[in-house]
Amino acid sequence: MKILALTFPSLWNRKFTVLLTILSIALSVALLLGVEKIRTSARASFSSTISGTDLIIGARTGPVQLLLYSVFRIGNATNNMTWESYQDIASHKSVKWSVPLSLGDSHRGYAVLGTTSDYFEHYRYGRKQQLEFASGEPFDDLFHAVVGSEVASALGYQTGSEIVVAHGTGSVSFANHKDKPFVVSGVLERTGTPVDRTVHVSLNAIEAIHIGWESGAPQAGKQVSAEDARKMELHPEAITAFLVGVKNKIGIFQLQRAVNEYREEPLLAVLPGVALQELWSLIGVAEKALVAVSICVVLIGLVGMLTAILTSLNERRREIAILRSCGARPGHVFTLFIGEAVVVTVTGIALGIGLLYLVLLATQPIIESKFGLYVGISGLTPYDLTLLGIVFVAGALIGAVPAILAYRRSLADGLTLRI
Amino acid sequence: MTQNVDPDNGSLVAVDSLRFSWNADGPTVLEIDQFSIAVGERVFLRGASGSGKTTLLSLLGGVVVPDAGHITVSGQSLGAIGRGERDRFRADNIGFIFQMFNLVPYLSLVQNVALPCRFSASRYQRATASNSLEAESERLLLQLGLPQDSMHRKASDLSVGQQQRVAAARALLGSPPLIIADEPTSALDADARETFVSLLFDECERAGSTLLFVSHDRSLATLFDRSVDLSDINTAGEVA
Ligand SMILES: Nc1ncnc2c1ncn2[C@@H]1O[C@H](COP(=O)(O)OP(=O)(O)OP(=O)(O)O)[C@@H](O)[C@H]1O
Ligand SMILES: [Mg+2]
Repeated sequence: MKILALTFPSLWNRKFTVLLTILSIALSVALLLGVEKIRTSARASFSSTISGTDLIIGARTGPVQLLLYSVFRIGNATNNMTWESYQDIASHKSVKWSVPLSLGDSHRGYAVLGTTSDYFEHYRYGRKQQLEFASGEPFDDLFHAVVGSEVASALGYQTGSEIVVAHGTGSVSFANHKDKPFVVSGVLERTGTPVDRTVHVSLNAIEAIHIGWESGAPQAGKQVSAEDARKMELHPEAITAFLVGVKNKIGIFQLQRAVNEYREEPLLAVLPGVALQELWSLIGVAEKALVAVSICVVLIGLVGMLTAILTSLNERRREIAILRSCGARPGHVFTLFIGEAVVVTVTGIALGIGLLYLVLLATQPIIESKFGLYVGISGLTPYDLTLLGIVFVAGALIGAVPAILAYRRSLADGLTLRI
Repeated sequence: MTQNVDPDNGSLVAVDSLRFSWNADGPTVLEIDQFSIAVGERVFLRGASGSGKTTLLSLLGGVVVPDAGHITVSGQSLGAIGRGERDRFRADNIGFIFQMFNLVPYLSLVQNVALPCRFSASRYQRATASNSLEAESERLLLQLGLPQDSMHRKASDLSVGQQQRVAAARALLGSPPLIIADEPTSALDADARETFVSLLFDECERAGSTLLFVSHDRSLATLFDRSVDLSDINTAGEVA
């Protein structure tokens, strides 16, 4: 309709208010999309933390706890399982491979994981991607360590760096195992998983650093030097958990039952996918709160637009009476107002999208290095578009409020030009 | 141009037994038994403030409808058609000029003048019969004494007197059969008033439009074909 040709000059006439309105909508849309992007990225990186592992087995506890400490390195295992039980189950007929994990120590705030070199072969993340070495190679000496990419970049380690592993998991530990220096044998490529924040050593190394610490504190007269430790015949007595791959998928449940009913000690076997889902549903509350907040922000933006249009309604009463006297029908007046709301909303949405990508481009490396979260700069998902569609419809509906008021007034005022 | 004339009495505007109040339980503002304007006539309507002049114009323009009675404009009985059609009828047949604030501030002079053609196809056709819309708008503006270099300036930049001339040009564009002017000169000084009225007369003549001119300035009355006092035709509020 020809009346819409008036929309732009009319908006331009009130450019400062209109610009502020557009900005507030743009900011709220950018926030909404940004929260959505971070949410989906967090979810994706979360669910791709471990893949290709069929079962995680550890001492009996909750499935989420087992997942948390064995994969996410969060919290401590309340109980370990014996090496004998591990060997027993690992030799079960349906087990194809198994990787023992021993946790509980830390290095300057980063978790230390005792494992075997099989770990680098069998641990998979994302779309069954294998761990890659940025430099160096897996450990093949008692005092070799392989560090994750974040550990390396944050602490400035390269292959050949000497490090000290602390007993316990605090970032500041008074009981440093200073007597057992490790050498970095390899640095892993970035994975976006907790592997990046882990120091990997052999199982025997874990045993070695605990020689003389059996009671939890250094014992006088029982100190053993690194050289002596190398000569000792070390074998692990307990592990925290282990990862299992089966020969045949049908074997998973059989094995799971066998583990859960294991007689020697109480054990638990969980399917990583199931446990991940359970864990995510716990985190989901925070996720929903985040989405709710960003929806509220969008609502505030739209209400701001409503306020701006309603405020202008009085000053525009005259303009409407003039248009009416020139033959504009109430429908024209209605269209003019709806048209303005639509233009403002659409411009706001477009600007918001632009703003989002600008901010993403600028902050992506910071988010990645500070929070370990990789936010992919991808196109808008159908869900994003649905959200934007809802914002658009809400904007048009909100625009209908002043449109209806203007329409009614234009009928009631007649041709009297009110000031 | 042929005009639809009321077949009964040859008038362009005919009001019959009209009664109107703004609110159902409010006072009756207008009660007019008979009132008519002949084709091509220039009528001066005066009356005290608040006596209902603007209300009568709203009724003639079909913006509001009477509680009782008939209004016929240019052969069309306004009571016989719906609101949408009345809006269209107004756009096609009537050019309005108001006391002040006639112009849309963010449009240029030419755009303001061309405004009615956005809403009325028949006025657009008449306006562009021999000229482009813009050329016709400019012609009217020049005719009414606006400087050539002001054509594309914002309406808000003009003096009040200039604004009234732009409003007159807009009312005249596309030669509507009826021009209704509601106190168009009350913001002008005496000299400007007379100039404005004579320019308006010239253009009405050229367009063949009938003119209904409202003012409470009696000094202008002598310039018109006929002068009517609303209190003479309006019996509302009189003791029966
Ligand atoms: N839109 C409206 N709604 C309700 N009442 C109205 C409206 N317009 C006018 N009135 C009332 O109708 C009466 C006549 O008003 P009107 O504007 O027609 O007077 P007028 O003769 O044009 O006055 P003036 O010379 O001051 O312009 C007044 O009492 C006024 O309060
Ligand atoms: Mg009036």
